[in-house]
Amino acid sequence: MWALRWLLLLGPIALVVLALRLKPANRRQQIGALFAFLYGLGTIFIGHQIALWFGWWSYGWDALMLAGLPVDIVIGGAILFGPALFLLLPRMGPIWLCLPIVLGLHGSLFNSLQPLVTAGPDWFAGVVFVFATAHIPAIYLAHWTAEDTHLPRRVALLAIMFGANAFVVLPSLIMTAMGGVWALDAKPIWGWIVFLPSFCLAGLLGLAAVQTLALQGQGTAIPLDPTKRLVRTGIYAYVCNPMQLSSALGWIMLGMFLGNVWVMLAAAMAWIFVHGMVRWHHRHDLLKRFPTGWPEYRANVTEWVPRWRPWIKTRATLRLCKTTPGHAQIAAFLKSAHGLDIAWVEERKAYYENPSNIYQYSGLNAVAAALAHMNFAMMLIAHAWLLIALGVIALGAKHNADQMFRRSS
Amino acid sequence: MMQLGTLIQLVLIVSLPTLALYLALGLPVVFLAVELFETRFPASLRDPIRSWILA
Repeated sequence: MWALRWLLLLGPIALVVLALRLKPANRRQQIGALFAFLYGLGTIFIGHQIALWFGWWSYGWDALMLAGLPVDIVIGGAILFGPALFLLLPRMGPIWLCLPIVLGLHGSLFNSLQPLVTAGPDWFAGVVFVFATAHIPAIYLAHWTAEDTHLPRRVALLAIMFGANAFVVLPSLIMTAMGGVWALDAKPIWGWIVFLPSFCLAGLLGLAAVQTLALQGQGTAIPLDPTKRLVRTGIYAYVCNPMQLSSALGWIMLGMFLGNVWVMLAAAMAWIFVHGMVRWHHRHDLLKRFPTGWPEYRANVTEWVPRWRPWIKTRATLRLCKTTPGHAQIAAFLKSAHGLDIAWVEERKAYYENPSNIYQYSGLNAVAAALAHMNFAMMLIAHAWLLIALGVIALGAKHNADQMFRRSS
Repeated sequence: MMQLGTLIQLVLIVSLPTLALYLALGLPVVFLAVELFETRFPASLRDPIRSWILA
């Protein structure tokens, strides 16, 4: 059994080495391969946990296990169905790549992997589930990153990647090292009622930042695949590190829910991460790419404690129409908005224009963008709306959704 | 320097399996150490050390 386990880890590593020897990957392909691995790591872990819970299969080994899963197989799977297959066959679509493996390899071999893996009655459904949620999206993420296309879907997958690793894999590692269990089914209902909304609120900070960076920065939140512009609007007008703040709050709430102080202390690691890697990245990337914009922004917006009122560099305009129902009330409500001018025009649809933005809003989205000029609470409401309204449109777009994020005329 | 620090930490993780998990969880400390070295160390100490390490 050890030989099989070593094969399932070293085999994919060998394939990556072979692929790179056959054809060296360019920088974007390397980054895409890394993202695919990280996405696979978190989603395979979660997918296999779900498989264990449903009884689709079980593992019959007790060495190198994390929450009932063999760590080397999770890592090997993330490498194989990520960097290895992407780099070996960069032109083949993920579904065509995985279909023979799902039907052929798993179909013929899955039942013969005992005692390492014992298949349950619905094991094939589990295999399809893991491929659909983990492996195929991972390879798509690699493709889209390498080609710098499908930005909305890319950032959505990267958000899932981060969430899975930060709030499932990392707490599992912490509890393995320091003690503790998930035991979610043992939590009282009132615990869920308190935890879920507060955790979602913390998550809103991070997701709002991710969406803003994609819309206005034309890039992702990961420094390896950075934005093309300096983003200082929306949530970034209130706090400089919304994603790190979101993560820290998420770990505190998750730790309180699990009754585990070590998971809560991951928030302290977030602080260390900001003072280490994030500041290093700011000096070596943002300061170099935006030598005047970045220092001015940092002088006015804090790293951790959000401002109540936004810092506005350039004034924005909300165009309303006096004959459109509700627009007069909207204008009255936005009287206290900071850095926002109201312009009355003939056109009945509301438009929000900000010289600091690439993506301009219309309709209800314009009103939401204007709300973000009021205060921190209104900004959160605005971003909650934009996440739903724009997210659904972008992810469901049939054509290249990048067109949606081009500058509006 | 950041890449070097990360590489050293990864080598330690692989070569010290009993401490691997704790070393992996402590990776952000490496980032902080490098950042403090680059920004808080006196230049008279930092520059020779950096030249020696990266030469």
